[in-house]
Amino acid sequence: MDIKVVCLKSSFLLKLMKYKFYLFLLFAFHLGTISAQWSMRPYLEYKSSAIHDNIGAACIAGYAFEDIYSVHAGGKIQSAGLGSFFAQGDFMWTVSEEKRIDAGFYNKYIYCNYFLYDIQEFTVAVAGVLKTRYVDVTLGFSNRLYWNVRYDEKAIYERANFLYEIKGRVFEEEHKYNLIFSISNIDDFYIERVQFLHLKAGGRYKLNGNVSLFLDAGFIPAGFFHLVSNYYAGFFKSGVELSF
Amino acid sequence: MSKIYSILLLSALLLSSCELIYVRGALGIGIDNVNSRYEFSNSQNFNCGFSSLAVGADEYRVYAAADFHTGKGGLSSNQATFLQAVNDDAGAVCCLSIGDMVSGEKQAYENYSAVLRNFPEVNHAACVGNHELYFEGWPYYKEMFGSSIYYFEVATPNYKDIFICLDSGSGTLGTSQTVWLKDLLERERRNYRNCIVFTHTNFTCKDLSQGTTGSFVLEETYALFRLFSTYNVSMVLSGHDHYFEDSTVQGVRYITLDAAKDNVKNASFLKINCSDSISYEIVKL
Repeated sequence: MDIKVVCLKSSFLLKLMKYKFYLFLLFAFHLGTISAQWSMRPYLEYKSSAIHDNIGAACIAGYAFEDIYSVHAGGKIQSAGLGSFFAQGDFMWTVSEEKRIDAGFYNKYIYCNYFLYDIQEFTVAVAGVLKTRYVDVTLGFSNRLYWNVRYDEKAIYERANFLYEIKGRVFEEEHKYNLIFSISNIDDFYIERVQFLHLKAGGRYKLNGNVSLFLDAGFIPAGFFHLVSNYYAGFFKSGVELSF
Repeated sequence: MSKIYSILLLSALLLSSCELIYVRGALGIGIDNVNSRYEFSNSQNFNCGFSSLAVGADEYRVYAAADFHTGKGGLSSNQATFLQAVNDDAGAVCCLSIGDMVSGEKQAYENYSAVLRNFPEVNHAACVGNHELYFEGWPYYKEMFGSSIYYFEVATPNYKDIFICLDSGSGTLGTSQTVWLKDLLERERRNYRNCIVFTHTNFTCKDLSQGTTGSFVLEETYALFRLFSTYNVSMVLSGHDHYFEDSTVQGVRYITLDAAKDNVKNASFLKINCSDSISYEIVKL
């Protein structure tokens, strides 16, 4: 092999290195097609708060491959003038198959447009996840940028916010039906300021291997960490979980 | 069984009145909620003791401080300094004490009141914060200051300005107060030159200096941003976070005051100049 050919090959490899992230995704996607799993979760939501009552419709789609990587994206629209979209990438590894412990992390980007209030919001979050038979724990941090649509003003940057979710199940995840309880400051489409926790209780019922029904109810108090608590909002959420 | 007993014992200890941390308040036990405080304010005609203050010039000053945290152990020297500054300024109309004036116990209220009594000429507008409600403090607040939700006007020779005090001691305005506020702004805003809103809980949180002390829920924050902007509110003053912030959202200026508590770094109060526009000066304590 002469020097010219070696140089050409190395420059080609250098060019490829510039696109290593995309190549990794392509590789992961290729692997994923071997044992890919799609999921879909459409649901309806009713929320009543101190500000307004509203109905929302949402749909979240997921694509998992090789049991390690998965991506999720979802959209939601609410009658109170809110449109949201998120994209999320998850990496989960099995720590102990026998004890059913998985661990990993996710990276999430949420965009919300509060049409009614002329506010747009962009949130970035990174969180670590630990899943066991009966309890899941999520801990992470996020930062938020919000700005208004009509005025030429500087965006407000909330640089540090913590996110958390502690979720408990009565039965193991594969059980035909289940009851789930959680405390968190997160939902599919937003990450609330750290001081506002959501108390949720929900039920799942598996119709078959691919279809489940769910119903969640939640309560959001204001002023919990003020040590002067007051009701702020309550909500119901119900829909279908499909996997294929 | 021993685990259950331990949990019950721990719960009983937490739910009992704690001298340092008002744990029962976090669970909403033993406190009046914001809607019942609204009902009380309504019964008082949303009055704080004065409904109109007359001033001889179109330009005047208002002083504002937050978070004195007067405890049951003694009097606040920063409170005295603040009130003295208001008293000494011939152009000052009134002072706004934007919540967490006291730590909630009866003795703390009495200590705050003792300093206030030394300045009978000062028009003092109080605002309820979360600490006023600790240790079942609301009855003492009612007795001493009256309504937690109210408004008053300052009448100059050619104009009138409106000052609105909101109760955010529980981290939300609640349904009744929100409806009342919308109605008040819709009905009255056009009759006034400036509109200043003051409430304890802060709106913007660029900093997590206070850790767990919460602001408003995001959805409520955005709804209030829009409401204040729609009715051209001139300035919104708050405290609570012990961290100074000055942000403008949708044309409305939101100021979060530093704590005025004794012996804290950056303790300060605001000297607000009201004319055709509003400006302020930070005075260190």
